[in-house]
Amino acid sequence: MNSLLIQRSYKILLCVLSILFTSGCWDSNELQDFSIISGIGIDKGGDDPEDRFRTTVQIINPSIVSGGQQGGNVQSSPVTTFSETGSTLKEALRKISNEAPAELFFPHIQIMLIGEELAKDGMKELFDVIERDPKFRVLFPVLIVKGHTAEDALKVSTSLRPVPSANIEGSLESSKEIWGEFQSTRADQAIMKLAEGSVAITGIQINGKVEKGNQTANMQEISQSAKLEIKGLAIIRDGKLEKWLEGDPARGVVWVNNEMEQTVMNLDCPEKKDAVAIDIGRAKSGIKVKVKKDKPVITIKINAEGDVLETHCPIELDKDKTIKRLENQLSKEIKDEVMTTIKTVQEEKTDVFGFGEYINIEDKNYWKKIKDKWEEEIFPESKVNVEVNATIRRTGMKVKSYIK
Amino acid sequence: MEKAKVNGIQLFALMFMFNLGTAVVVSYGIGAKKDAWLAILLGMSIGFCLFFIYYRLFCHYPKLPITGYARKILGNYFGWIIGLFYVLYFLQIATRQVRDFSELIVSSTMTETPLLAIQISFVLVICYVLNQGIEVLARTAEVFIVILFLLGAAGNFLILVSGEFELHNLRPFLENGWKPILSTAVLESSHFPFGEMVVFTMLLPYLNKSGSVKKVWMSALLLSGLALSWTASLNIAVLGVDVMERTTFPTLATIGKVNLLDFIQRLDVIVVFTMLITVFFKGSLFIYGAVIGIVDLFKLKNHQQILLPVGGIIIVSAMTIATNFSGYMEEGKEGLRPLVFALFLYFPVLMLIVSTIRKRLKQKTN
Amino acid sequence: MNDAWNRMFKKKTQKVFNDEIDSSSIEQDLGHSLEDNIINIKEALGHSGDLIIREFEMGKPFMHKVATIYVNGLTDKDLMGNLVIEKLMADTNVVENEGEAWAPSQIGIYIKDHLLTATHVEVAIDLKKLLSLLLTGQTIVLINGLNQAFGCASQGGELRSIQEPTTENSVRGPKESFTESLITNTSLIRRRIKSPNLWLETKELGKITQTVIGVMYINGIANEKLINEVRERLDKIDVDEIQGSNTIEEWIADDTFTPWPTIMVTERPDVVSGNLLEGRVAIFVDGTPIPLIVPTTWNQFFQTAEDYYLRWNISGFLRFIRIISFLITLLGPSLFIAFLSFHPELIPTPLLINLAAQRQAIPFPVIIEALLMEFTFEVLREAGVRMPRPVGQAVSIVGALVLGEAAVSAGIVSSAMVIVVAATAIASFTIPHYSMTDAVRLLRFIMMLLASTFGLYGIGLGVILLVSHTVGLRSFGIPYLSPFAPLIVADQKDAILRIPIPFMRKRPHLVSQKNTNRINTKKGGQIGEGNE
Repeated sequence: MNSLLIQRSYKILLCVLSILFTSGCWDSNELQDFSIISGIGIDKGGDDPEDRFRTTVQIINPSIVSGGQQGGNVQSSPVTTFSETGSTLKEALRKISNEAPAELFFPHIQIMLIGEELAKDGMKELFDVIERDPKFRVLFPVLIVKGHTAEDALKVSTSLRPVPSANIEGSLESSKEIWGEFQSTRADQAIMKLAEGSVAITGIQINGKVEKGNQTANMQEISQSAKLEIKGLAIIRDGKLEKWLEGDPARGVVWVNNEMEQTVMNLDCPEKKDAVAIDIGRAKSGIKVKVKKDKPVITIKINAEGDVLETHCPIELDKDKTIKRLENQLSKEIKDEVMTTIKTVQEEKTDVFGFGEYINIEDKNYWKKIKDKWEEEIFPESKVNVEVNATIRRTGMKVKSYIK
Repeated sequence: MEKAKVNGIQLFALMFMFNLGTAVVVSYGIGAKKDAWLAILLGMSIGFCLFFIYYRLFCHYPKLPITGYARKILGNYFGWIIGLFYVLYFLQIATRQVRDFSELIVSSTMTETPLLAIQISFVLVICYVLNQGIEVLARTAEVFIVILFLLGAAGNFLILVSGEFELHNLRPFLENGWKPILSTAVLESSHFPFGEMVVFTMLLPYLNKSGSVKKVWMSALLLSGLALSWTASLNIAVLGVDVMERTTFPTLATIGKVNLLDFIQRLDVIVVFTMLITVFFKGSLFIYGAVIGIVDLFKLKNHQQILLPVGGIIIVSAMTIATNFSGYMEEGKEGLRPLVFALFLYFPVLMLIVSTIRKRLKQKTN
Repeated sequence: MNDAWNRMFKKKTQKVFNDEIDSSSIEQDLGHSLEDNIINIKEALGHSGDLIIREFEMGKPFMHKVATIYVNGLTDKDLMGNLVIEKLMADTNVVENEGEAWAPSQIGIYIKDHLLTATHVEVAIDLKKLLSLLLTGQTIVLINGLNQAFGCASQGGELRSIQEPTTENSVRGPKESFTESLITNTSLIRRRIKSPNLWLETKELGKITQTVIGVMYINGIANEKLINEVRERLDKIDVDEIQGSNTIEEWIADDTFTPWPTIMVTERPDVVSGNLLEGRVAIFVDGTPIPLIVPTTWNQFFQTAEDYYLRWNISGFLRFIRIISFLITLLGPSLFIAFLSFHPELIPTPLLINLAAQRQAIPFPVIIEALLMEFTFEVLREAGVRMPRPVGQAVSIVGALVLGEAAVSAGIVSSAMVIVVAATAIASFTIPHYSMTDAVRLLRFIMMLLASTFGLYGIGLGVILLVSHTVGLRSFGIPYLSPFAPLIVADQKDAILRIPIPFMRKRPHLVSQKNTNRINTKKGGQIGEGNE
């Protein structure tokens, strides 16, 4: 009986206490009290430490985005941006609350843009708040804005996906998967690599008239006046932007990092240049390092598989000989591309591929010796071998072309 | 002492979840950097040695908890003081569990809630469960270990499938040589959590089949050691050593990286619930150990009387033991070391030696 | 606490009735005079209009004054006429006692042994026994000059016939359900279990209602201690009225301060016989078509009779669905509240944008909205039960659709909340036993409160509290949560999934304890010769 009484008093105590706590459930928030941020951009502010960073946030207007219950007020923009300056990111973000209608809500950030100027000055410290503050989640991709400020980039409206940040993220994803030219660097990956040395981050630029982008009229046009395009790969060394890579050298980075999924390679015909298109469907690369005579030898092995899906010359695709010839061409193309990339990267003395870690795995004592000199001295001089094994499997739905 | 009976599976469940405790979420064994998994396994082997000490003592006195046979072996006064030390140790670790857990919740998801709210609710629930006796706790453990396995399986599966697992983050092996591994194993892994299993010496008298103590304890030790080792490796593989060192709750960060089909994402819940379950049982066991110790030392009638006051003490000390998180972690790592080693290692060894000598003498005189 | 309840009940009822029942008049014995007896009986029953008294003379050679008394509506009049009155009025060829007049006692003996062809005749010496016989539907025969009365079995009257079950339907199984008559119910069980070991113990409970309670079990399979415990608890019941099996349930249940039901009820004979064969005890209450089964465990409330008439794979799947529905109905609204209020960062982004858009227009915080919707739904549900049947269908459809639609358009609740509440309600209907559904309804509200205070952490605490509370419950000595905790591996065969019947060799361990073999393939013996 005694324990029953005590048990009941526990229950009562619990009830009472929970009533007390209900009067102030500290973490309880209503969704409508949040401004959901979809994208964040950081630019260089003034030279004053007070204005070190200029932060821009892109806030979603949910009822416009999700079709709304008002019957769709198309005139109203699906997103809004606010910008402020401050000496730290947190300060700038809090100053924005003077303008934003509700508390900023960070966990759903889909994209982070860094202005080119700031990247050139040094962006190593930017990521600490993202790691540390529990409100930020680190899985979003990071892009560097080429030629414009992040603020401008966030103001461009897009048509197919009403939230521009989602649009950017979507193009990045599809670019990575389908075209393979640029890779998607997530914030956490950027942090890991920044801590070790160099990193390659994809860029984005605004094509067209920037001022026109800042209107909903932009997204109503069939061919928009201002468009966002994923372009360029920035090589960052010691937190500073060194060089932009574009086109094939940029793609080389993706080959080496084993991130290539699909792409198109063009091969020459006897008559025309770049007239046969090979659709690469599978690609895999592996890096191996050996230490010979106190010097590291890096070997990159690439396996690629593709189909011939477009041709502009009448080559005989039904013959095995032709296919083999094309395969050799393909291997050479890929190898050249990768070698160009490696050369460029070596010139810049940036080991964006993380070869150092492979050396460490292979021979840790050697690595301990050369660790501090790796990027500056040894990497630019190291020998890198590229071995490509390309296979062409099929030629699509037709064998010979109709072109005579 | 209650008249309760706990069977083998329940004890196994309690031990397993106890060992996972907070270790499954914090950066455990990271002193050995990439070889943390090895350090943990070594710590587990030390745990085996400790087990043998405790087991021998249990065989000598199968019906008494450690506070009981401390008095028998070392004499009433001295043994009583040792018993009191144990009670204080249990209280201290229980406090740390409560504080750990509330820190996790506050720093990761519910940032506005005051620590006190979480601590009071947590301790009250523990008191409610313990009030009904060890049998209820044991049966609850049986139910929850199934849930824990499901959560763990789901979490691990998702992490492996998400493609974030990079084996080469774990290599090269023995990057820094054996020294850091051994030092971590001996100084850290041995007492946290394997040394803390000394609290189970308070519970062994309840087991209904005394013969199965060996089987249960060893299998729980093995399985939990493997689980912890695996978790540490998983964290390093996904996050990289550098990040893992710097993160307060690495498992949370690891599960945060899972993103399948753009839909299965943000799975922190799994880790929070896992920690809730494991810390709940660890805290309950320590509080129970302390309460039973008090009942034993002060000759109280039953444990219900002292339960709420002990809960109150835990809440108050959980609030006051440290003012900030960094100091708190430092204290846990270095400050407690001498005290803890004495309790889980030196005293039991001492008691074992004395007890064995006594038995020999008795046999000789017989 | 039981005593306190007891005391409260007793005082009330005694106050009301004690003054009016004049016990002295009932305690007396019957006199010799027919007239006096009849007057006494009439007075005792307050000259009730349904008391039919016929005075007549017996046939030759007795020519003695007798009377028959019965209560209209409780007897089968044809039976009474044929077996009692006709036999008494007919002339008989009796050769004994020639010449001498028959003494009333001799007449009595002769009537009892030779004339009354009723199947059962009881002798009543005092008024109390006579009245109790009268009120159970027997016909009383009074003989002038004899201070005994005979009660002849002639029970009849209007009873509900055996119909289909209303709440526990089955597609492939038998379609009988219990009725209000105890004898009919027990006969339904006897038809299924033709073993002589099926024993029935009857007793009468309730001082005024005199309700007959039947306890049925299979000797040799049911545990002795269990049967004794049931007997003891029933004997402790000392009230004036037994309203139905629920009264008995609340009296003998283990711990009335738990939301979970600890005693199972059913209206199907096959369920009862299945449980009896597992070693459980069934308690029938006359006047209630729903008997009790003890002891019960938690997983039994998720099993239906249908599980044993469908194939094992589909029934396992259905049971699994029921358990998942249970989790949905218990935790659904609370998880919704927790995620929306406390952890919006854990919701995928597109979903969050949709939810945020919906919530823009809603003036209430999530918890208020949830409580409002849940409460409304409970009101709807109750109204649906009370509605007269023809109107009921329309109301439920109108209520649900129109109310929900209108509320969403008016911006009082969000569509997501309506979906959550509807899903919760539908999930709760999959639980086969109503008492469990009731338990969940109450628990759901507690979970919602915890979720609104502490978010997911609150839900976690709530689950721990609930599990630890449930784990400590016992139902007649069996831990409520077995076979999960304590884990009995052998019993898992029928706990959540159901394995094919040829593999179910043993009975649930804790219930039967001895005699656990169901199948005696080698020994070929009777029940009771299994392993111990």
